[in-house]
Amino acid sequence: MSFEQIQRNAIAEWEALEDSEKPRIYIGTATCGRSSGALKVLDHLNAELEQRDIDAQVIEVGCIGCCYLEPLVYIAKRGRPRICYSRVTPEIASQLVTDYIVNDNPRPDLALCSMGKGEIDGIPSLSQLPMFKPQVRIVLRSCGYIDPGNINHYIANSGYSGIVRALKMTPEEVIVEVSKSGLRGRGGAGFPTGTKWRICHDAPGSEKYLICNAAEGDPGANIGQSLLEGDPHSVLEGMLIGAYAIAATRGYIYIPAEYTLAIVRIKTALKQMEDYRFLGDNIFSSNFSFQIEVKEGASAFVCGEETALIRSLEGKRGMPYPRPPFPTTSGLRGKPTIVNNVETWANVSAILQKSAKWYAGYGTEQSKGTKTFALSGKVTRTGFIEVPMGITLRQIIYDIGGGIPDGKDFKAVQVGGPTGGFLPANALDLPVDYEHLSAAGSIMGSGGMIVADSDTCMVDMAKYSLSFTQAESCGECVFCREGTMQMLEFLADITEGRGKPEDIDLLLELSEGIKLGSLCALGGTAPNPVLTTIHNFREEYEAHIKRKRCPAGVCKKLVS
Amino acid sequence: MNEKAREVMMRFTRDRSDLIPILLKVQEVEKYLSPEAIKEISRFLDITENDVYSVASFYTQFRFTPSDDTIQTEAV
Repeated sequence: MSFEQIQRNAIAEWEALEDSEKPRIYIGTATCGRSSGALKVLDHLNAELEQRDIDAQVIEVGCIGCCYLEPLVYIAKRGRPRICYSRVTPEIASQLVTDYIVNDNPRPDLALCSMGKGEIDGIPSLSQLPMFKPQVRIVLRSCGYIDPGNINHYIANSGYSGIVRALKMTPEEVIVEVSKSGLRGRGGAGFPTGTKWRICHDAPGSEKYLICNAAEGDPGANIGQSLLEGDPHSVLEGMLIGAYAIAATRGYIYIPAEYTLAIVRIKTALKQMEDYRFLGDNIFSSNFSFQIEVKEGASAFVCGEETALIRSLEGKRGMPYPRPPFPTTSGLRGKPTIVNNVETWANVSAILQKSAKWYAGYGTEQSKGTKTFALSGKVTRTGFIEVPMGITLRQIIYDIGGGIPDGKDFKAVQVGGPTGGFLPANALDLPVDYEHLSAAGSIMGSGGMIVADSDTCMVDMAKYSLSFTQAESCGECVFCREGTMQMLEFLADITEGRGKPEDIDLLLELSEGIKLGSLCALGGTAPNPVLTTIHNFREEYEAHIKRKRCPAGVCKKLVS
Repeated sequence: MNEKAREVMMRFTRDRSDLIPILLKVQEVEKYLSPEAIKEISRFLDITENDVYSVASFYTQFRFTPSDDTIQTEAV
């Protein structure tokens, strides 16, 4: 079957579903939905429909990002948009079946928003919600909208048109297109994706590899997991495009074994791709051949670092090795390899489906496109968001996040996960892009964003972040291994009333040493939380040390 | 190593790159990595026991002693 034919069938299937007489009930059953009880609601709905003999179609979808409102259920009737209901319990689900499906009352009092074409009285559309208004969804374009277990849903929404377009270009032209889009690696370091591909493309060797890094490691920011659960094909299509550009024959998805649902979704997706012959030899009747394999890994924060990841993939201890040579010339099994993370691959498929020019229309001069963040901590609306680069922290925390709950004040935000810096209130108008974040002492990192309110002790927060990196240091570099341990002891002393005035300077000195003396970004960024809290909240450190007082009243030993 | 764990191990290739997936699956069955399991895995992949230990001990989720309570965590 030609792609055009597959595409026509997929669109016909999608339209038949959208136009179906039968009501459709969509339910968000990604990991975040499941931990809020989505599967209970799903079972209950199925039983209820059967018991009452109601003919409706129940479809599982991914997460749209409002984790604080899970479980989410969407009901669609013919010719009307989907209506999204939040915090649905089995009882509310039964109520909705009676009220909307049977009696045609959409219950605006229970509804969050509508999704899709058309309007319903008394219910705002998704794009009008304060949480969604400032967002631009490129990576998360179909999460929560399509059935991740059905490749036709992806194809009907422009899916795989990107690789088809790429195959009409030369590999060099594809690389130029990616370079023109301005896309930079979303794993944290922000290396230009096109440049990375170019180096790998130019590297000698007939065997080349491509890796999708799905090892996020950051306990607070598992956007890649959510994306793989909600729209796996967007990532897989990106990998196909990358493989064509660098002439790779084999791709690996390195994924933590505990991402069980994501692994199921990927394996289903790969099976469907094989059925359509999107994988294997002579894809789309071209000379291009490619295979993708899922490699379940053991989780370690350091394995997000590409050289450590490669070692782990080879069945070794996940410890980084000195570069050069970079993986682009000598990576997996010594062959040229590109490693990009989940979000980067999903951007690639979007860029090829539309155009580099369209993508570069979002963002700032140096940082193009969008970035996903996992907004959490002391903020009203938590969840996964996607915003254009250059948006301010204030817009993210106040407009999208709804500000600080319980009438408290904002104190700081940690951007970039456990190795990110804490930025104070005077940084709220900072545009969020690679350059500005790094100038302020933070990083883009994993896209974690943890908000701290006025009741937070910054020394305690720095200690908490560092205790994570100290435990996750792989032990290769002395500075990182011993230095983080030493720093953690200083911080423990300070928070327990044993701090000495010279400790602050020693912490600063150690931080510089660790940054300079570490091979990889874990050591290179581990001191950020300490450096930025000393820089922005020095008076708190001094209160702990000189007056043996914790101003926020958090450090137990200093409170009584 | 019990039959079930052995059977799970045999499904993998004898390539070293499958070491971590094998360790994960064997631990899933036996709940920990026993000295016998380490020995069998090392023979299966033709690497030293020391090598298997060095990799397994690097990653925090591998355990070498049986435990009564299995702690389950769920990502949010």
